[in-house]
Amino acid sequence: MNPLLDGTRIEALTGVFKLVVPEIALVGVACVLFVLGLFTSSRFLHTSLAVLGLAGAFAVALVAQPWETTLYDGLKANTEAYYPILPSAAATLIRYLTLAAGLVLMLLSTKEATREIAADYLACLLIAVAGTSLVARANDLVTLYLALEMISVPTYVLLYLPHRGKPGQEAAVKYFVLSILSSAVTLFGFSYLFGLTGSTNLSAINAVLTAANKEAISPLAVLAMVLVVAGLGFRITAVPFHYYAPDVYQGGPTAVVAQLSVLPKVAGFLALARLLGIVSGPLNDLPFPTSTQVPLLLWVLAAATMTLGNVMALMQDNLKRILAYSGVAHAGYMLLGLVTASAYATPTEGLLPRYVSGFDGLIFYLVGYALMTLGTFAILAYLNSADQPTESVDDLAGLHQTNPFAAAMLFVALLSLIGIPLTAGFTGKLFLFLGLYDSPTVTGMGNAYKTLTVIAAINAAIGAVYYLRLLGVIYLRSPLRPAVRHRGKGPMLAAVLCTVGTLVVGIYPSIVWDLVKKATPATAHSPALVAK
Amino acid sequence: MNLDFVLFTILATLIAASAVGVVSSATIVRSAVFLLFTLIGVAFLYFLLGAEFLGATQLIVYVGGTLVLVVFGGMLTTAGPFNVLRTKTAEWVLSGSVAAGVFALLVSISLQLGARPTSTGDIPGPGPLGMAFLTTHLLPFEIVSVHLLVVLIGAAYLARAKKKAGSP
Repeated sequence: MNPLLDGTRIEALTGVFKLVVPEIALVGVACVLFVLGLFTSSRFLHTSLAVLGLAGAFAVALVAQPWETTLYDGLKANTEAYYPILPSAAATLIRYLTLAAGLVLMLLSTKEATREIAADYLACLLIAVAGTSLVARANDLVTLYLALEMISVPTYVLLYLPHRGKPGQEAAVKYFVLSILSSAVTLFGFSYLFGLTGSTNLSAINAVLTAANKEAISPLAVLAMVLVVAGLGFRITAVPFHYYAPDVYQGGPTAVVAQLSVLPKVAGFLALARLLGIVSGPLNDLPFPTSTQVPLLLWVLAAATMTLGNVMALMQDNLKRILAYSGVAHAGYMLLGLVTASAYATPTEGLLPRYVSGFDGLIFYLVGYALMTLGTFAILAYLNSADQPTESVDDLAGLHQTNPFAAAMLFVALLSLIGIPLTAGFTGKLFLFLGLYDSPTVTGMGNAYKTLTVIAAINAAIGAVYYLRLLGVIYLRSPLRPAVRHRGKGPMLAAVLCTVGTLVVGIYPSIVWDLVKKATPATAHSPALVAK
Repeated sequence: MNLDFVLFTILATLIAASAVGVVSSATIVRSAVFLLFTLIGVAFLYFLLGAEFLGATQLIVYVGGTLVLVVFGGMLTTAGPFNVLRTKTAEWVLSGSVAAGVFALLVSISLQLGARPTSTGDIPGPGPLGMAFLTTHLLPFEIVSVHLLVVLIGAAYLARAKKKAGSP
């Protein structure tokens, strides 16, 4: 009998492809764009095709959602079925988030992606968006690694495409080399995970490690976790692995840097959460030593990332370097979500119902972070022009006189980055900090979680200094150069979208929070959704 | 002491010694030649484990392809025939201590493991591997082709930029 006609094989094959139709659509549109770019350089055609691709992927995702949810619920009940793609509720949410981010990034890029490179630029962007969405649903080490590379490889090309002299090339090469190094470390960790468990399927790995963990701590599993955290730390710019960020941000084109500050972070955090086993729960049964080792590792990483990011940002004069270090600091805040989630791992008696279980706070913060960071970059892209570059802090002097509308939007974005109430940044920080402060103290970590909350609060205060300095320059100083008419409808539209989003999520957080709550596992003791 | 053990010792010594050679030699071409021995050693390690297909792939892809690329890349990009890489003492100390730390960690953990993992049966040959590529692992296989496409586009841009700069 022809083994290719074997029923289970055909089922495995078609079952997998059905779960990634939107991603396939995005890659398909990207391929069409690559070919189309050879024949015509009509920018309108390329952009509308790319937007259609995103809209089509969104529509397919909406259609597929009920079916995927049913399948996922079935899979949760039947733990024996190991799918290479897992359509978890969180992955579905992240898919919509990345598609929306893709649209904003496309608008942002209209100024820098000139007519000659527009087709290839948009195609690379679509592939990176598809990769981010695929990371969230990958349930196999091979697929996960390739999906992560699906974000990096187009980014190398994107960093090089606009080709703006030496700093741009340096940024591209630096990102290329360090990204490959981090991938190697990730793979090294993956190889230990595979060697320990004999499977590349993440569900199987988690099941084996969880079972083994109940008997004794495996030093190899801890080592694998350390290597994976180190490799993925590069993507989320966690502290010892952040050193590429300032140079790449400074030298790279603004639109690509905006992409670099969002998509790899979303993917890195999702991959970390998946490998740590906190995406599908239950949270009190995790595949790693939970009394101290891994929570302590994440604790140190979070504390170092926040503190160094904020302190280094104080000393910068280049706007993009400030944003790079601010991105490092925000990665530190988001790591608090992982710390919180791992705190619930030790089965403990008498826990009170918790409202924030960590992973939900992390996803909510990712939404807020994407809104405010993309908003800031959109305004920088809007203000930047060849004859009047907006590079250093002084270039923003007196912006409220020369361009009050852009100044107002930057005001909202910066307030959100500080974490002032009524913005998305405040709500996100509130959930993360509350969740962490509420963590159980009966585990091996003792009061360390409360200490970390205090460190985070101090960091939020340090962060306010450099954002307020920017606001002071914008509103209190007089302009250093004559007002010019800025051009760029795309970045402006992106900025407006992000500003509105920041305010809406800040004022009515329940719009996003309820979705996030539904998509994340509850702790053993917390209600799935607290009634309002 | 059986034959496996003797062969493994010889191979491991070859791999480790030439790996040290890769790091410590000052010219790129010398490093590449040492790398050749490391990669061949790893290929023979696969043969020793009974994974003939993997060993052959290692020889073809790494020894035959990647290494030739490294040598050509070194020859085409350096100004002189023997570009000497200068490493500062501080860099030696820093990287050496990091490497020593990682090595100590790996050794200490490996020694804790105790029993050697038992073989789980036959290692699949090309047939089952090809079947897996076309069925259960078809999606990753296709993703790799997307990677290659993007890399080709990027390489085309790199080459075009060079031409532009060369002919003003």
